[in-house]
Formats: sequence, structure tokens, C-alpha cells
Amino acid sequence: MSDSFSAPGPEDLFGPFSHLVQAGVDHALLGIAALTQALTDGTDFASLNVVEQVLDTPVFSGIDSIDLSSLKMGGKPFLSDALRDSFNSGHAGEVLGEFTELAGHASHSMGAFLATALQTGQFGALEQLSGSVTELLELAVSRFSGDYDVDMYGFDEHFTRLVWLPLWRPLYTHWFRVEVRGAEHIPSDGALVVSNHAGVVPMDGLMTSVALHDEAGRHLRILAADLAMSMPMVGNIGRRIGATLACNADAISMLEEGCLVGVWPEGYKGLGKPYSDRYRLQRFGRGGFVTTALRVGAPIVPCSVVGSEEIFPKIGESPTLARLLGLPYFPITPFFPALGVLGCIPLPTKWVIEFGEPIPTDTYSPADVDDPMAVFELADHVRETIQRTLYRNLEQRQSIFFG
Amino acid sequence: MDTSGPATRIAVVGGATYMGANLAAQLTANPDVEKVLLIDSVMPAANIQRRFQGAEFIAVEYQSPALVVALQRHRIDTVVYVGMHQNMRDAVARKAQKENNILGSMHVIGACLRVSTLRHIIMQSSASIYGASGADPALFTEDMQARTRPKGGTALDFVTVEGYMRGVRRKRPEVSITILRMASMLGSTGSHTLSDVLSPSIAPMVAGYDPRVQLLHPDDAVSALAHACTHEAAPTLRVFNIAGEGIMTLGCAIARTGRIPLWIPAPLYPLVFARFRTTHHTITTAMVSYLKYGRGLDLRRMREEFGFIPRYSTDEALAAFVESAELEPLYTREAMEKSAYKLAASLHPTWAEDLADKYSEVAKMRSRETLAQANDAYADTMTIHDGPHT
Repeated sequence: MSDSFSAPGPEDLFGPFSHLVQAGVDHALLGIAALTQALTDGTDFASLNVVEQVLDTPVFSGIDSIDLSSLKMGGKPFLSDALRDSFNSGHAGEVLGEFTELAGHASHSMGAFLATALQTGQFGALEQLSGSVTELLELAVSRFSGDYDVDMYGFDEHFTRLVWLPLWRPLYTHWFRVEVRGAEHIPSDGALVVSNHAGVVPMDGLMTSVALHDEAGRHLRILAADLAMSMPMVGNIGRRIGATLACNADAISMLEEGCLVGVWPEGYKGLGKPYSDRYRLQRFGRGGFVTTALRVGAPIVPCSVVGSEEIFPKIGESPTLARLLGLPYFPITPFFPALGVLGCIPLPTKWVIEFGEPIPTDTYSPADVDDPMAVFELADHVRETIQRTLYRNLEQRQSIFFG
Repeated sequence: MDTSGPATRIAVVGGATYMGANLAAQLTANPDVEKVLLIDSVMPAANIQRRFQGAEFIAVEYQSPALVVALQRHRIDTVVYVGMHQNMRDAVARKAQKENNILGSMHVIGACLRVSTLRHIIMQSSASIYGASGADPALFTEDMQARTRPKGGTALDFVTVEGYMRGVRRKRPEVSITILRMASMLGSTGSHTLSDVLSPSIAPMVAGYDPRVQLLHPDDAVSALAHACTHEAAPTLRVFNIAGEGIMTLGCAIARTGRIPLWIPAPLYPLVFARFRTTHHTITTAMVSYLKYGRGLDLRRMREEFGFIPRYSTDEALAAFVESAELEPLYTREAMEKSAYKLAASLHPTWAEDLADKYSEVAKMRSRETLAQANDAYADTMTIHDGPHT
């Protein structure tokens, strides 16, 4: 098999464009080198430290043999000095010439350095890079050749694990800085995760999915409203990432198969609640989720999300636009729709997702499934637990943005 | 009269179809079956006739009394009704099609009621009666209904005729009725819009949607009908979903067939589909919703109560279709692997080796999975066959 493969150079890959590509790469290197030069040359010790720090990071780990002085080229004056001098004397052309010359030197030296590194492949960063590049290629091949399977609900584990969750992880780690508590409470088989719902767009569902995958190694199977499942793109991606219609048949069979099923009983009432109502749980529907859990005897895991309810502070709504677009509500926030696309950026609140102790349901008798009192009682119990945890975590919180 | 026991004298109504002819071939090969009679209102095409394998064919109009006479003279105990058209033709042909599907079925059922020896009616129905919408559960069980009743087209025909079958139960309670709701079939029957989507090199999809599709190999459809004939049935009305195991998305099917997907906004879809189709079928709104949301059938009852396991899974049915229709894939996984390898090699020589390692792992994993599945399937068939004897 490998005989038929040969390792081609850039000429084979880019064909007639190889010179263009080469020139592009050269220019990029030139820029980097100029920057390095500007930072390292001269006597500015602070900037030298910066470079040393950069070179100490894992990306450059293993290049211990490179003498920093080799990066300083020919004792040119520090660039900012040169710039200041030239501007003072009004010789902008000279600055340009200076810069070009500088960059020419740097380009050669950085180019040689990168070329050596690439050829010998001696340091860790390249191996990491190799891992991610080959993974990306393998992923692309699998996706485009249809080499993946979906389960009966349309759940595409391959897509979810390798495309969908990585897409949201930066938001999870860096934007909302999600802190997960109580991940050890997640049972290893079928369970119903019940959570508060807010934030105009269901960002809490996405973040809970990432949290459960990263902290408990489970995929969250979301129960979604039929409106969402009918929407183009939304319904399609929904099924792909493990969502299904919130109906008894699907919820029961998922729980019986041992899935971790997520439900937001507040529904659209919760998602579209005004900013003034944040962290005040709405009515939990008719408690349908309790009936489902009772029927299967699956435990209910209460989940309280703090931070999600402030990402889009809804201060008003436009029923006319909502009716026009066929949406349950059309939100107005201080930034949306006034700032357009910018208004769609969620506020970087600090999130805490806490999973409570599972509430067992197998202690109830089968008759309780049809007993509205028992169902409401259990639904209220779950609601109370989530509300209490929300209030406790809100009390501990010092700042919306820093936790 | 003995109501249990497998059928011995079988009439296949709608015998001039692919399904009827192949069923006849399979039944005549069964030594327990005394008589196979093929009935249709039209003469079979030559390629269909070749498949009869010596079964007797008679052409009668369904509304003529000759149908009852024929059934009675041959002391038929089982009628298999496969004569309904599955796919929408253009508006003019649709009138004739509806005539056949509704009035033809009424006449056939009326004739069956007059045959005293009759014990069992088997009807080939279609899963299209479940419709397709965003409010559908992931899997339809036989007891569920479409979220919105089909407004027209062949799906409505099937709903109507299934209703007539329930009527038969009231008039002749000793007659068993088996209704098989079959999933989408690709290939030789030419019976499904999906074939029209997958056949051209550019496959039109509805923009923003990627439906789940469940496929049934035509051979399995025939086997399911034969299974219904040759296994005893209690005098009740039984409904079974029939489909291959597993499910796939249309996008995945298109990729595996090596087609290039083209996303078309839903309102324009029928127009564009007309440009791409390879057959005379037009596309209805019901079909467009199917191409938006797809459909899944719950097969537990098929496996456990009906005791039928299709030979082809959904994946295999697609592969068989690609092979039999001689569809030339425009791209394959192997070709893509090769270009990815070239790209990796151009970036760095050792990366290509890493990639090749990964491929071989994938290949190994895939073959392991296939082997495990094959073993499981084998074990399943063994337990089913051994079950009653032990």
C-alpha cells in the first residue's frame, strides 16, 4: 500500500503556484523575523526576557541549542529608536529602507531556523502539530467520505466528539470559564439531568454538554421542543449531536438504553424570561419529565447553572417581530438588535455548573406514574433542589464576570 | 375450517410487478406451497415474466367477477396484495394511479370477502403513511400515526386501503390480516424517490436538512411477504414495520455513494428535482418533507412477533444498490486518503507516516467491527431458528 505513495515536495502539491506559495511563505517569515529583530536587538533587556519566555513555552521546547544572540542581526539599532529618529528627522523613506534591509536579514535567518527544525523534526511542538494535522486530515477524510454511523435517533458520536464539542470548548474554557461541581454525582447508566433554562439562546445546553463530556465522560442527549426540531439547520444539527424530540417514546427508550438524557422543563418560558426574573425558576411544565423518569425508574440529577442567565440580559421583547418570524419571542437586550451582529456576542459571565445528588425514582410504585399528586410532588422537589442550589451559588458569587 | 397453519394455495394480486413476480418465484420453490396463482389487470413485461418460475398467471380486470371466480376455482386460502403503486407520477397519470390504488383495492378486497376458502390476506403497505415532520418521534411504532394525516398522494391511498382492511376484520373475523409497512426501497423496483436523488452525480438535498433514512433491500421485501405466507397467523389484524437494521443520514448515503451534494432551498426543490430525476416520478410535498426530516421505524415487533430478520441492513442495502445500479462513485475513501497522504507528505515527511498508521488503525477497527457484527448476526439467526426446537 505504502509503495504507491511517495513523499512529494511543494512542487507536486501546488504545481505552477509553488513559486507564489514560496514567496508567500517568505513574506510571512520576513514579518516574524522583523518582529523578533525589533524585540531582541539593542539593549532593551525587558523585551529580551519576553523572547526568552516565548522560546521557553512548549511550542519551542527542545530548541535549547539556539543562541539568542544569533537572532540579533548585525548590531542594528533598536527599531523603535530608529523609527523615532527617522520620524524626527523626517526621513520616512530611510526608515522603510532600514526596515527592508532588516527584514531581509531576519528572513534568511528565521527561514533557515524553521527549515532546519522542519527537516530534523527534533522538537516536541512539531510532533504535537503533526498529531493535530494528521488528525484533522483523517477527520476530513472520514467526514467527506461518509465513514461514520448514526444511531437510531440520528446521533453522530464521531461528529459530536471531534467537531461539535471542540467548536464550543474555547467558549467553555476561556469565555465563560465554566467551573463544574458535583460531576461525581453523574450515574454511569440511564439518568435524567434536569436543569434551569435561560439566556435567550440555549447556550446552557451546549455548555452542560461540554461539561458532562469533559468531566464525566458522558454524552448528554438533549430533549428538544418540536419547534427546534422542525427548524432548518437547528433540527438537523440537533439530531446529529444527540438531541431528539421531547416525547415520551423517545425519552423512555433513551433512558432504557442507559443514556444520560437532558431536559429543561422551564422550556421557552425559561429561555425567554426577562433579565429581572433571572434565576427564578419558572413553572416546570406539567411534570412530564417526572412521569418519564418514574416509568423507567431512572434517577433525576438536578443541575443548577449560574452565569447562563446573564449572557443576554433581555429587557424587552417585540411580539410583532416574533409573530412575523414564527418564534416564541423576539428578545431585546441593551445590545441587540441595536448593535446588530455585535449584540449577538454573549456577555463573558463566569459560570458555575453544579450537579446535585441524584434523586432516586425507583422507590415509587408503578401506580404513582398515573398519580398527578405524586408527580407534582416529585417535580416540585426537583425544582426546589435546583432553586436552592442556585441561590446558594449566587450568594457565594462576588461578581457576575469574575465569580 | 383450520385458521392456523401456513398457507398452501396462494394468490398474488398485482403479480405483474417486480415484487409479485419475485414472490411467486420464492413461493414456488417452497415444497409446502401447493399452488401459486399470479393475478394482475395488466400483462407483465418480458423481464418480469421471466421471473415467474412456472407460476400460473392470469390477467383479469379487478372489477370483473372473473377475479372471484378465479380465486374460488383455485380454492385460494391466502391472498397477497402487492398491486398498489408506491410513487407519485405526474398529475395526469396520478388520476389513473389513484383509480388503481383506491378502486382497484376496493374491488380486490370485495372479491376476497366472497372467497369462502380464504384464511389470510397479506398487504404490502408503505411506511410513508407515517408522514415526516419535525414533530415526529425518532422511531415510529406500529401503533403510532402520522403527526398530520397525509393530505394526498400515495401515502393517503395506503392509509385508506389499510382502513378497508380493518373493515374486512369486521365482516370476516376468522380471516387473518397481515399488513407490512415497508421502508424505502432502492434499486430494481425503481420504487423510491431516493433512487432518483442518489443516481445522478450531483445529488439534490433540501438546504438545512439531513434526513435519517432507513432502507429495505427489495429482496428482503419479497422475503418478508413470503415469510408472512409461510408462517401461521392467528386470526387477527397484525401490522409490522419492515426495514433493514440501522439508520443513516441522507448526507452520509450521498457521501458513501460518491455523489456531490447540492443544497437547494425547500421551495425550489421540486423544480430542481425535475431537472435531476432519472425516472418519470414527480416529487410531492410529502416527499419533500421526507427529504427534510426522514423517518425511523421501530423494528422490535418485526423481530420479536413477526420473527423476521432482513438479510440486508440499511448500510448493506445501500451498498447493494450502488453495486446493482452500477453507480460509479465520483470519489472514494481510498482516493481521499491518498490525497490527504500527499498533502501530509508535502508538509512533512514523517506526518504522512503518522497518517498512514492512523488509516491502518481505522481499517483494522472497521474490519474488527464488521466481523463482530457478522458474528452477532449469525448468533441471532441461530437462536431464532433453534428456539422452537429446544
